[in-house]
Amino acid sequence: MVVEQNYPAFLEWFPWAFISWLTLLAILFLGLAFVGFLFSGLRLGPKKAFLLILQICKQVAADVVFVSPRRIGALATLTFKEAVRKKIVVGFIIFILIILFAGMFLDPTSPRPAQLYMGFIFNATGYLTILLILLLAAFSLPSDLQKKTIHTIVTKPVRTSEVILGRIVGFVLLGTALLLPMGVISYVFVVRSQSHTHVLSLEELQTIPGNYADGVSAPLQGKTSLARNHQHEVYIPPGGDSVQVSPKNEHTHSATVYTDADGRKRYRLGPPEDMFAARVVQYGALNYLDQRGVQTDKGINVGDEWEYRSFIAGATEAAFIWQFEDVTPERFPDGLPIEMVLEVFRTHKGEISRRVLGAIFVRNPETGLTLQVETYESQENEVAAFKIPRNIDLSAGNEDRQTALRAKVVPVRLPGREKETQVYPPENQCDFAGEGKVQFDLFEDFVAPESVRWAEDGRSVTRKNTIEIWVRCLERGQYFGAAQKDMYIRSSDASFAWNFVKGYLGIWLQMTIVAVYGVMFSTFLSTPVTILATLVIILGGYFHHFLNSLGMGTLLGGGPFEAAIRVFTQENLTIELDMNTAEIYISRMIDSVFQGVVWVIAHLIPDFGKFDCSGFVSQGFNIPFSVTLVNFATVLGFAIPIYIVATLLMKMREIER
Amino acid sequence: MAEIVVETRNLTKIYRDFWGRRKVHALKSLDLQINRGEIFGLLGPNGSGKTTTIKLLLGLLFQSEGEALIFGKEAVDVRRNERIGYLPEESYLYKFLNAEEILDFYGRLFNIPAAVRRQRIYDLIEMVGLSWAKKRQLKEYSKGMTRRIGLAQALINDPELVILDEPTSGLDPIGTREMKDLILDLKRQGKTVLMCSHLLADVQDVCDRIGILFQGELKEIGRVDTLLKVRDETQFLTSALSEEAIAEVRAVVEKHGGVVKSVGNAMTSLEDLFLKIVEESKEHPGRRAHGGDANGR
Repeated sequence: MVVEQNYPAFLEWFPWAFISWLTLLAILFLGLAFVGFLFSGLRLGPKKAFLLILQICKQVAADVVFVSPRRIGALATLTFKEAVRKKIVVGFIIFILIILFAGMFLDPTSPRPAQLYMGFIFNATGYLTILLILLLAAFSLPSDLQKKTIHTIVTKPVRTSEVILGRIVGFVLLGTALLLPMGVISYVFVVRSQSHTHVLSLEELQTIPGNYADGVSAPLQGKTSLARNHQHEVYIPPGGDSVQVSPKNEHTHSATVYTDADGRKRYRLGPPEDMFAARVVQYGALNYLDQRGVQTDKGINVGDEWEYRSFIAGATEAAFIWQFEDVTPERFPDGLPIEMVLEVFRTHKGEISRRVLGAIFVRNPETGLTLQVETYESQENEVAAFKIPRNIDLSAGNEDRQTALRAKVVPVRLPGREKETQVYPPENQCDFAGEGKVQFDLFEDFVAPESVRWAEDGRSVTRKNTIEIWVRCLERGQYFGAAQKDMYIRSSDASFAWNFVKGYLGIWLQMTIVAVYGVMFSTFLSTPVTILATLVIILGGYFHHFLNSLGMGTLLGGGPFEAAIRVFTQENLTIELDMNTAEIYISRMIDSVFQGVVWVIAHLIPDFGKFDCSGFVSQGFNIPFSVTLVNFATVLGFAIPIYIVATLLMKMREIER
Repeated sequence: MAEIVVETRNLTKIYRDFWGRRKVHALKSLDLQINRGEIFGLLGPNGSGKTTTIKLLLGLLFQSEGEALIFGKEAVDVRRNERIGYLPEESYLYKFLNAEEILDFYGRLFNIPAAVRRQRIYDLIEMVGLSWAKKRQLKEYSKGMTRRIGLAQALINDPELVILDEPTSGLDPIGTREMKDLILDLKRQGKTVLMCSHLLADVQDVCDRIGILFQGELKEIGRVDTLLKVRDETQFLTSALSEEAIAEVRAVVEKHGGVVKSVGNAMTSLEDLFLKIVEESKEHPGRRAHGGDANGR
């Protein structure tokens, strides 16, 4: 699924993040003060050096806190005007040109056109804005210093911090002014470019033969006309009062039925639907049953390098168990709307005429009552949507249900100590009476008001109004793969336009952090070096995960020295080296220093990937407010210390030199 | 006793290279005091340390030793800048702004309220005579015009101390005279002026006191009239006399043991001649100007 990472809730995240932030800040500034003390101590002696550092700290603290909004406003306006009068509009023209020519190189036959167009638009806007702001920030202060225009500013009652903040605010305003029209144009471009409809021609449809009541027309099936390189399959049920349009290329079309002057029924298809969605989803916890039916927290590894998904074997006891909380009739009065995407791993070709079969069950975790509600034909990496109805009727004559199916009590075997297993629910808790029923209410029969069975880290967790949804693969030798976020309840839909804005906020945040770093570097570096240093930060930000793994020592193969030894000894990355030999021991020691340095660097650079929420938008998921809030706080968390460091650096340098 | 506005004590500046090795000793133990209400001129050839002194005072450079105080405060205290106006050697201004915008920008840096700012911008543009070009971007300005707007920005906060680095550089004789008149006017308003220049005539015309720097050392300091007075010579300046009258005066001087070193018509300065011609040309356009009646015509 699109949203592979876990995004913490803001209130859960904030206290821990704030404490770590304060700690890191203290380490950073104490470190800086200590280095300053060492250097000035060599020249002035320890006592004078200490007093000097104290004085600088006081000055910087006063500078950073007592800033005048009017002066910052004046400097920000100056920055803005400078960019505008120096033809920043060229950047905007480039953007328009990219949009104009986008249609030439975007594949119109793509099965996911909305994703393709939005991915493109977000990338184009993001890179262009970031690059523009980077260049402007890199040129701004150095040019001021070189042309000495800064002389007329610092000789006014302007604090160094105001010079820095004025620049940063100016660039952020500028970036905002660029992103706003770009956003509007992008939105119109994406929505308009995907706008289309199809013609439904009755001559192209085939009648399905059968016996139908008098006056009831036979059902029809066929395809719509070709538009934007695709057709939809259409089914008109007996009577011809509605049209079912099958989804294709991530969308469907609604149809209106009307009667023409001759009294014949006509059908008209509308614009694409569900193409630009902002699904508000609820995720559940995922566990697995292994082939013997024992619950585990991981499935089978089928040898995929990407270990995101775990697999279950077909035609065995194995199953995915998603447990959803807070499932109440008030929230889902019509039933439970579920969407799911599964990966399929085949060990043989299988039935060539159809896809791999699976089954979907609902289960009450406390009574064990389980019922198959759907069969599922695997649509690899395609989202399958189905609704579990509130009232399920298995009585004879109900053609929508397979009457052969019965509800069953299915206890789960939980792993116990020393290979023993215990069964849950215990027999006295099982709902054997439910096995005989033919009519079910989803909430009464399958939702447990309170469930305490699931334990995380040894703690028991009470979950309210819980339902389990199981998925099994029905074919021997075939495997289904899934991760926690591959199934979700589609609670509601948010506004796509607002989600688009939130996606742009991600770009805005990245642009802001680039502006802050750019201005900081430009206080002591020349323009080319500032560009280089900021580019390194951007790259580090995009490859933050790698940097972090390197710093934490979780990468296979160790640090540079160990890696060098592996190259010469031709040892595989996964083979553990013999720690008893001196050279390995020493290399690990040196590597741990390197690892420490990388760890520090990784903590000085924000993870740009986390700010980038375009994946949510392009794949049709609402960006949770909590994610936006966490991202804002993170940017602020980086911007504040960088601003202080920039003030310090600017204060330490002679303006004239 | 007059209030001291600018003071340096043992002010020293040594430029060092990256490795901390001494490169240039730009200023050596400068002790200087400038009182409220006076015009003080720093004189010296290029590289003598005039601009370095000003930049140390303004905090654009860090001193190697000593103190540089304005209103008794070091440069780190930016609040003192509210009372200072500074015109740099070249008017380092943002060329993409027009005259009004640039003055508004600097006015906002002083936190001057909008209404006051507007009035002051209007007055200053009038004062420097740029009303006709106030909407033009500074990149279209001539050097003299840029200098004038530079001066206007230095006065936007109605400062108590005005620091002028080479104030007349780049100005034509009319501009030079206007600048000098303006400096004298600032003095009349009770402001203190510190200027540095190597144009001796300018300094002589306006300064109360001067300090002469050479190779970073203060060689002479004092009142201009005292420093320039030649004590063993006397000078009369009268209206034009006849040959007989001159002979009589000469006889009287010789009778008292004096030696007449030169007698002749007083010479006007080239600056005065030029200004008179310009003035005359304005009054009588199309007529050939001859610089008034310096020769009695």
